[in-house]
Amino acid sequence: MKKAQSQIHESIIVIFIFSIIFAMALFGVYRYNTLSVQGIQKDIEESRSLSLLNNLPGSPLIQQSELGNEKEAVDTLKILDLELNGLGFRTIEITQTYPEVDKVECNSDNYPGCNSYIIYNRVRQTGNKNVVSIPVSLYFPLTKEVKVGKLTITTYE
Amino acid sequence: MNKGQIESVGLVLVVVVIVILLVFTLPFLLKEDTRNSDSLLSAKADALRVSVLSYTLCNEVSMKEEILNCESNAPECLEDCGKLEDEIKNMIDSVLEPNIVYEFKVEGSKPIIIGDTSSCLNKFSSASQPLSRNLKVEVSLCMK
Repeated sequence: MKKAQSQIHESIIVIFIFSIIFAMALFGVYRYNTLSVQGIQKDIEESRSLSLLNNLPGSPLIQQSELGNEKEAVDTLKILDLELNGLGFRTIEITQTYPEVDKVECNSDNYPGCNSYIIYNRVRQTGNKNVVSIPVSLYFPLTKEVKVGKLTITTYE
Repeated sequence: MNKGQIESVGLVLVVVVIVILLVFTLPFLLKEDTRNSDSLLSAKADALRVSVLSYTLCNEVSMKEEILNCESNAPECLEDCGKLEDEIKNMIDSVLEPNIVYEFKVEGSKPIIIGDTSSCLNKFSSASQPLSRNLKVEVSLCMK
């Protein structure tokens, strides 16, 4: 084989190896970008859940108010038939934790002998889920009592 | 120095630069973002303080009022003020996750301290809520 031919073969091998390395690098960058986008999406959903957790108890839709005065408690009569919408794939539940009562979902028939109020529910079966919760005061207008509860937001990835 | 040696030194320099860059960037890439859990704990501490203090013990008497009553040794709902701590402890245990360490502190002439966060490295405290001139309540939380 002449010297020129062997140099051409060498160049072809170098270009071939370089192409493989380049393709692998491209795939790596693509994977990294995909994972980054998924990570950013997850962070946004988590931040949205935290924002809901902080702001929902103070929303006029569920907050107790008396003669226009807003109190730091959730009015259980307001959340009894409340259905929120447009909050993505998540479940928002308010449960009474103290004193303990029967673990039953509340409706107009069993209220107040129940412990759970689901105010938003859009479940995604696949993927992981992230659960965050915060203590809330639950106000019962019929007995004018305040009990301890928990607002739980489950976010589905 | 011949051409081959110069190329080897260049290659070594490139590798050294890449290693140095990796050493400085990896900690940032691998660092876990704790901002969300920090703000959650802080919000939890404030919400817990409000929930415990506004709980109705009996006949429209709240926990806040009973703590004030106990300050002057005249409880309205409980048989004795010693049961106040149990009531608050049960309340907090029912609402917090088991991996959260808490401390509920009433500062006054008869201080109440429920839980212990002295072993916590990163502690989040609620705003201190005054109940009277010399009585204030604060909640601290941290992760186990």
